[in-house]
Amino acid sequence: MMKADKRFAVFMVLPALAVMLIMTVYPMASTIYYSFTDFRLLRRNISFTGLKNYASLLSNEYFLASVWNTVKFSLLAVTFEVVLGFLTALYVNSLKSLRLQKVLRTVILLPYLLPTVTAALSWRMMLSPNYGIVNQFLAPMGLPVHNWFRDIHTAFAMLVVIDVWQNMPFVFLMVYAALQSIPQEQYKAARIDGAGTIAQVWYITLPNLRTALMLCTLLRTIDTFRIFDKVNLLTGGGPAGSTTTITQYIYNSGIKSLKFGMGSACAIIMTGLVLVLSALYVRDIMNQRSI
Amino acid sequence: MSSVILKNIRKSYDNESFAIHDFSITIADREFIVLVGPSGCGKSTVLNMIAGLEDITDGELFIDGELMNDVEPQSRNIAMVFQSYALYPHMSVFGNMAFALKLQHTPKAEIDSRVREAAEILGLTKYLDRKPKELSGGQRQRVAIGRAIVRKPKVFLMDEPLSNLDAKLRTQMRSEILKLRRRINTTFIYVTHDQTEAMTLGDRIVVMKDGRIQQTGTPQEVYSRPTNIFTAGFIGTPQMNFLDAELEIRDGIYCLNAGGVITVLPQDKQNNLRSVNPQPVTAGVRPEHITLGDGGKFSGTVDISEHLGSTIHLHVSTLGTDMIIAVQTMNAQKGFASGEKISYSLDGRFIHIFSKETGKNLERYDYGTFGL
Ligand SMILES: Nc1ncnc2c1ncn2[C@@H]1O[C@H](COP(=O)(O)OP(=O)(O)OP(=O)(O)O)[C@@H](O)[C@H]1O
Ligand SMILES: [Mg+2]
Repeated sequence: MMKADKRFAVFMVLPALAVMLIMTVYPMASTIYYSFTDFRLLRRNISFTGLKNYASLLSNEYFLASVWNTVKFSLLAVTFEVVLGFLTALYVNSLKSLRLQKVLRTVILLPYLLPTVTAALSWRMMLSPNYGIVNQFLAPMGLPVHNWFRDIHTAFAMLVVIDVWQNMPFVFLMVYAALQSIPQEQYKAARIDGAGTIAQVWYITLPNLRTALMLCTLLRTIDTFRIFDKVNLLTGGGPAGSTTTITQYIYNSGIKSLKFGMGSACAIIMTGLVLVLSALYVRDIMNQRSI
Repeated sequence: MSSVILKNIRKSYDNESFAIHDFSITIADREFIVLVGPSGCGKSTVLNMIAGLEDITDGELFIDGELMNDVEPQSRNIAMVFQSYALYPHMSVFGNMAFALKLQHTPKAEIDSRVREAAEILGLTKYLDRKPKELSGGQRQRVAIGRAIVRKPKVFLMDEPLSNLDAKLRTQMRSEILKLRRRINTTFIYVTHDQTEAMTLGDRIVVMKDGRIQQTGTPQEVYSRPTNIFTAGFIGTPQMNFLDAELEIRDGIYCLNAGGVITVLPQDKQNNLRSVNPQPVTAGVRPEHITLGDGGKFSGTVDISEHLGSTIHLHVSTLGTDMIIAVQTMNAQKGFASGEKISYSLDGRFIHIFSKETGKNLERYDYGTFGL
């Protein structure tokens, strides 16, 4: 009886397991494998090269620059997203009118609902030096017309701005939900204890939001680390490599030039970085839970 | 001196309807007042207005002789204990109790001694380093009380502080609150929907319904002289029995005619009822004031008998309604079976007579003439 049950269970899980193996474990394993080879798509023979790919990557200044760009992008975007999302949530939650709260909630969420490609393309049109609406506003005011995505001083910042614009709503939503679940009586007690508005935020709101904020930071860090679509669509990694992120680097020097072995090594390094970062946050969140 | 005076206080949340209508009461220094009433009657609203957590729409609030309508909560010299404890979850027990003093920039040494003193009173010394999560419900409630007493408030407000506790713990905490009161001796305003708590804790209780005061008085007064059917039914367990009857005058003497049985009312009720016209009334009799016995003029059939230990509650069909009769187990020679016929009698001294029309008690009490 037991045995038959067990066999049935295994049988039922099998399809899901197979899909998972094919979809995740296989690509993962083959990426790890290729990263130790000199695999190129148009070449017949593959030979094992050990750590050569890694060694050459770590001494390649373009790759290192792309790592630095990614880290910088991630730090900036996540910081602004979390801070702005938090402040917006605080503001909307403090509004007396529930109707206004509802309206604002929807409006703020809109950018997050757009597919990234659509959002990126609309930004490209708005910021276009020829027919873009932004420059048409700037020109009459005597301000210089900019080619935002081709100017080495603005390209990177524009990517950050667009990512913040699109993903701040996510943080807003998480924090707003967490705010709603803070028991009002804690605020009442604090008011009687003599806490003003700022003290209430500091002693009641922030500690109660800690887990939500950590979670947002974690998810946004992982996500920004993998940024590709915006970069590829808007700047292609330029100008002068100033917006080349790791993914864009993989795309340029691994996929486009068909050097899959090298590309795989890149991908493994990136995964490693994300894992390390997330491990730090995850541990902190877990600690929070157990308090 | 920390009296609390509410003068014609009204509260509207939406500018259309009133949650509190014309609420007036004078609470003496060091009095223990209990606000009691069913859910939604406005008890918390009154307390929140006294605390300054809700604006007062209309009327005046004085604490210690000072008008407090527009004074910030922290400057009112009050402390409040909430039903959900409302402890700060990320602070230790010590941190919770020290919070108000810390915000006032009290010197560290003084904070320490005051918190430790309060912890000592409440038996929390062992737990000062723990987080609220690591405490039982009763301990959390003590921390909430401790947080209030370190502030040495003039007025102590408590909003259903015991209703999250189980029955046994509630009884225990109730007596601890009484002890605490003797110890810190300040004015208490206590909200509950539990009439047992109201009866046992209050010097005076204020019975509320739909934002209005129904009756204010000592527990004994409210119990033995309810001003209307609502108060009569709300205070006392099991609930008072109500039956349709006629108030009649026979040979110049007030009598109650219930289902054809005439009960002559005693002398004090004759006085209290003077000049009331004979009329259909609702008569109220508490279950504990009904006497079972073969000589009884009323008869009924037992539906259910509930044995509660010291008393037995008989649910009896009689006079066209259901009545509960409380029998002391000591006085019951035998158990009661369903369907059993019983007879009982009513004592005129313990019958309450309410107007059928208004629900008001028809007796006019001359306070002080009637021994409780
Ligand atoms: N913030 C608010 N906004 C609008 N209406 C409210 C608000 N707080 C309370 N009310 C209304 O005021 C009335 C009284 O509420 P209150 O909370 O004072 O009752 P309560 O006697 O404390 O009830 P409970 O025993 O359930 O705590 C209710 O009808 C309630 O719906
Ligand atoms: Mg309440």
